[in-house]
Amino acid sequence: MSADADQADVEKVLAGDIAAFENIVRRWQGPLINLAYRFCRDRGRAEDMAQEAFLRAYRALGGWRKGAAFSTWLFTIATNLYRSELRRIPARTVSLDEVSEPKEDPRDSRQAGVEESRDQAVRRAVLALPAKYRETLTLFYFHEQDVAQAARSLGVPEGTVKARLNRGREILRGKLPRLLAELNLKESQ
Amino acid sequence: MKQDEIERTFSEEPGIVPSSGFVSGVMAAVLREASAPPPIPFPWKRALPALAAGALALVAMIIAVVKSAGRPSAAHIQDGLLPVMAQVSEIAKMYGIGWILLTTLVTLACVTVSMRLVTGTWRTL
Repeated sequence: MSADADQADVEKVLAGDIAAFENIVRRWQGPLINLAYRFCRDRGRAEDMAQEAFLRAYRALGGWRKGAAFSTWLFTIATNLYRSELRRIPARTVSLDEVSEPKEDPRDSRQAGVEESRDQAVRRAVLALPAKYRETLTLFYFHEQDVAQAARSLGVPEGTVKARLNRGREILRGKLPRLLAELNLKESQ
Repeated sequence: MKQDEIERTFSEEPGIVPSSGFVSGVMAAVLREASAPPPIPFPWKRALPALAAGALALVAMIIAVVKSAGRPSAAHIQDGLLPVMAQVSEIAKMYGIGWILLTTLVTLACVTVSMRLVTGTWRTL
């Protein structure tokens, strides 16, 4: 992703060349849709939310300060939108107590199948976390474990992000004992 | 559980590919937005005299209250706030302050709702 390309396109759009916004959309559609998908786990809704995020970015384009990275500014707009949308209409979740363990018996199934079930269980557990922990975990891993970027996107101090990450992981560990035991079993094999 | 397990689960999560019509959908929405008439700006020039008049009325009321209450004395303090409140209420009735406040609040509410509807920020309230 080129910061220079972003800046050039933003300047073109602000000068009246609306078609230049398409370059921005093409460059950032993947990250914005995938971020939305991690929030809601619904492909159609993720695209709708990403489209609205682009529209809001277009409206606010004049407010972007060149001193800040365009990507950070864009992700902050998108994150705020996704969070408010999910508060308005929450993603379909299950309670943490209802999170099922992998259905397959790992002793009988293939390794790939076990890993897929384990990943699904962890993701479902994350989706069932309280919003502030879920959002922090989602952004932290989406930003490739960059606390500073996650903090900027959420608009909270880095210390808060670290505290929420720890608490979120604690909840996950506490609520998925069987899964963890299974994982430990696999690790020891 | 190793912390790495959560990290691995997230890091290795396969991304989804945007649908083919996504870009054109966004650009259609952007073009609609661009061709729409700009939101009506708040008429500050017209509202300024009314706001100034409101502020003057408020100042006049405060001055009137202070004058009619006279200089604060030990007796006033002993009597408490009740007589002062009664005087304020009387003056408010005399000048119709209640109605002025009510109409100002209704106006502000109308302007706020209209601006939010126009700018599309209503849903984020």
